[in-house]
Amino acid sequence: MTDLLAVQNVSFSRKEGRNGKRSILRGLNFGVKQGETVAILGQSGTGKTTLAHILAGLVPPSSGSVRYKGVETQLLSHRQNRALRSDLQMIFQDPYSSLDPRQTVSAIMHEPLWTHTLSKEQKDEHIAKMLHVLGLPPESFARRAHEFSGGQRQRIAIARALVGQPSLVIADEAVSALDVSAQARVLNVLLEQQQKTGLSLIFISHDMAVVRHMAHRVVVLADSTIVEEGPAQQIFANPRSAYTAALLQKDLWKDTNV
Amino acid sequence: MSILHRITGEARFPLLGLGLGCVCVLGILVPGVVLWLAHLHAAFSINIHARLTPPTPSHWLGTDPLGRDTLAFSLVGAVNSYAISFFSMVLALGLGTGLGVLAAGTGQKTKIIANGVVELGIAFPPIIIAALLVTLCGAGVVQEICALALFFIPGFVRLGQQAAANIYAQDYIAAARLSALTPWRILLRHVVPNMVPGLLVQFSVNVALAMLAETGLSYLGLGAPPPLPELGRILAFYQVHIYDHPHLVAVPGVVVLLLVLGTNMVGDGLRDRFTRQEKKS
Repeated sequence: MTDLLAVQNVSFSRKEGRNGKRSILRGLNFGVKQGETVAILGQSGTGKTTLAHILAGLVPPSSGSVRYKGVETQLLSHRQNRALRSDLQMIFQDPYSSLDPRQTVSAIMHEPLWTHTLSKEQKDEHIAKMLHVLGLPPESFARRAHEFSGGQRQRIAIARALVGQPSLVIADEAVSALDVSAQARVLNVLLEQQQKTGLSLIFISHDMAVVRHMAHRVVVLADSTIVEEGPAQQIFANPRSAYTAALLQKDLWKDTNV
Repeated sequence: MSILHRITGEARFPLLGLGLGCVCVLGILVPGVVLWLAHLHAAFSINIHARLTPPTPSHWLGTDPLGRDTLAFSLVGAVNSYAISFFSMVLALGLGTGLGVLAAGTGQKTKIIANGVVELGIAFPPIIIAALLVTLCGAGVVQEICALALFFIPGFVRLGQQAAANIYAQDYIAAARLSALTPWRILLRHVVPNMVPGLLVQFSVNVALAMLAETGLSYLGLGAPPPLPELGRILAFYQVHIYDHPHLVAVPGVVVLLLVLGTNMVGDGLRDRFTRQEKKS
């Protein structure tokens, strides 16, 4: 099966000072197949969120290419870009920054659907169903984002990412702001979507239990590059690099306030 | 925090400052507008036989050296001065914030232009610009509005740029881009609505400052030409009677004071209100 998303030799560096450059990511190569969950692991500051932004097409890579369904995301025409956008969504880490505080939940949820050709009633029905699945009451429709708690906001953000039935969702620490029961509900919703629609997931998380539960494959980032990549079961059972082994034993989490 | 703000502070009386401010401003502008529309002749009619009369039931604060009703003339002057200050701030807000938002949302070149405008605005003393403008274009309402707007454009550019840059850095903008919203839709749906509270506060504070600047310009004769009454020119005209009829200077002076104070209180009140809303969110 060909990759839904193919990352080829992607590097990213940021300007630092007048003439300096700091390398954030170097020569990354991996792919994501349809219906597959790929977990990206690494300590804080290893560039996981930057990579998520590059994969989502929000930031161009300094070199290399990201191909979605065989087309390079940076070379898309306006029409192709619109189609891609409704097909690729992202769940952000910070629930306070990811929802516009002045918008109602209804407006937030309609946003990913604005390129869809459904009628307003169909869209409303679709949104109400998604909110219900994620445990949000129907009256939340007319309330503004700032009226909700952090956990509720994150569930709204997850509902927004899933409402357009995308093919790929990039989840950057998507469940870390949730309590255990809400986490279980969200993870089950994601797995259900995966079974129903063949949704692919790129899962960035510090929670090893969540990664074990969700991931088919794991990519481990350290020192701006991939140190290990492979099937989740194999990596959890028999990590090849010492860094991965330490990471899995949570030795490296201790000094990163995670 | 100003003494005024402490007295009407948010802790005890959240809406007192806002309410008092509105009363001060509307208490002057509403009668002024009514006079403008209904009894303009009463404010302007010269009666040389009734010059410098003390307060009477028909002239509550007496008459001026040309026999005009001091209060009515000052109130009409207040409407003119306030309208000039208000519209100059509308112009400054539109141009300054527009350039600031453009600089925050687009490339490096616009940022350089915006920073140039800010530096240039700060480098030139405002009064020199106003004098230059009046010398080149002649005195008039439009020239005065433009001169006042020029004072405040750099501040609005900076404010607009910072506020828009903060909003563009939020994840909900990235989410909007992922939903294929065009830059124009993102600007109208997310950036502008989230900028409004901050801009509204700055706008009201700047109207008060513009009011003071406008009074200064018209006092120096750089404002709109007669017969349009403006508070600064009224003050300049009455000042020769400061020793024999001090109330003549006091009336337009108190009107300026109340308008500036009231507008500032409205600005402080709005800021408190928006800060509380932000804390809640």
